Amino acid sequence: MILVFGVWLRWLPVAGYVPLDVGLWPNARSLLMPSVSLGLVQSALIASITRSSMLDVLREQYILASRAKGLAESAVVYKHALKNAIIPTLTVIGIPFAILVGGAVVIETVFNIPGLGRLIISAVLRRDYPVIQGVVLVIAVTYTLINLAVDLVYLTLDPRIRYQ
Amino acid sequence: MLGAVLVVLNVLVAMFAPAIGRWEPQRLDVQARLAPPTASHWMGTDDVGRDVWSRVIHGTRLSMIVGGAVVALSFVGGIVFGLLGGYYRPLDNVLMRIMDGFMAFPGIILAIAMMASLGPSVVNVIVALGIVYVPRVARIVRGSVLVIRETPYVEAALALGVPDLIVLGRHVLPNCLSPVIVQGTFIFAAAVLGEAALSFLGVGVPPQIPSWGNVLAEGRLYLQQAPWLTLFPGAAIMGCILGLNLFGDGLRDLLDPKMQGIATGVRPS
Repeated sequence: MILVFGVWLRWLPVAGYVPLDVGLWPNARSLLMPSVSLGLVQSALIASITRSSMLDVLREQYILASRAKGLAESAVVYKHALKNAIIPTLTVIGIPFAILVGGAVVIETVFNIPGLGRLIISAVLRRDYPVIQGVVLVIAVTYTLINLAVDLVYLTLDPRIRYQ
Repeated sequence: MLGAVLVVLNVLVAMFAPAIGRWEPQRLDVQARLAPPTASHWMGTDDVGRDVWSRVIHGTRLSMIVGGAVVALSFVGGIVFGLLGGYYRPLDNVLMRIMDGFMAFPGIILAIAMMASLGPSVVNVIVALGIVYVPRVARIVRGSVLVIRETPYVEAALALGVPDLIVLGRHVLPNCLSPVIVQGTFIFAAAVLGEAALSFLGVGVPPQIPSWGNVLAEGRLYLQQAPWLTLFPGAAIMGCILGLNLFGDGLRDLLDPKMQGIATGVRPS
């Protein structure tokens, strides 16, 4: 991506981060490639899980009934099928959502973005142990909170799920 | 099938790396610094004139060694903890809370933190990544053991007075191995990716050892002048991970036909 969009086409900056106060468009341009490269990997996983889950749901009796009573295909797919197929997808969305917190380390280094990932790497290279401990703690707490939030979202989407 | 072919290809390349490599990975050809791919240097040369083909081939060997060793280490730890946790209920709470503690950290962050204290070396990369994947194996084994320990044949063995160690080794362990073996291929892929990421970040194997991550990290600085420095190791990583994921999916379909078509694949740690 850097080679194509940054070096050959020169559409986007090769690396670096432009803060939001400089302007919305320069900020968005600097974040576009890192976001896409981080998100694209996870989107493949989410797409394959959603596909298999949708295939299962579309074979259910109530989908056949919805079609038999003459509902539009979009209503059948989006209102009836997707709502039920999204639960296993959400389970998987929770994983990359939390992984992104850690996965950003490599992306931040590649794109020279001054985030927590770059901070921990520079701290490791400088043997700055207090900073390493602090960053690991912040990331672990964020990771746990994201997992908790995803678990709570299940409750609202599927009332059949109840935590003791 | 394609997955198996790619995996076998990677293993063969790793086994015969010195023969296929043509050049020594450390040999300098200063006259041909940053040379593009030619007949003598199939993948070009890097900033100090080292042959990229040879470094990528030797990187394959290192990746295979790290992947295999991480799988072995995570299997040993995960199977022991999983068997003990699933079989001895009072131990379960203690062991699984420790595993939960490890799982509270994103894999790569935990590995980076461990590498910071252990220092850069191949063995330390294996230890750090092995520890990261122990909880994943332990959870799978524990889940299977919880089901198997309630089965009549285990009850019958216990009623006959068979010692716990033999029940675990002969009756429980062989029956909970198939999901673990499938997971092993994904852990292998994640370990290869993890090693490349750690080396790329400069906290993995020392820079003088040829690894995919090291070659990528060196090539990144010359992206504009010498794109082959990043393209070839990148393609090698992609081919290896794709092969392992396809192989793992195929193996899972073979061992568990109910899961057919549900792709999981490697998740970046």
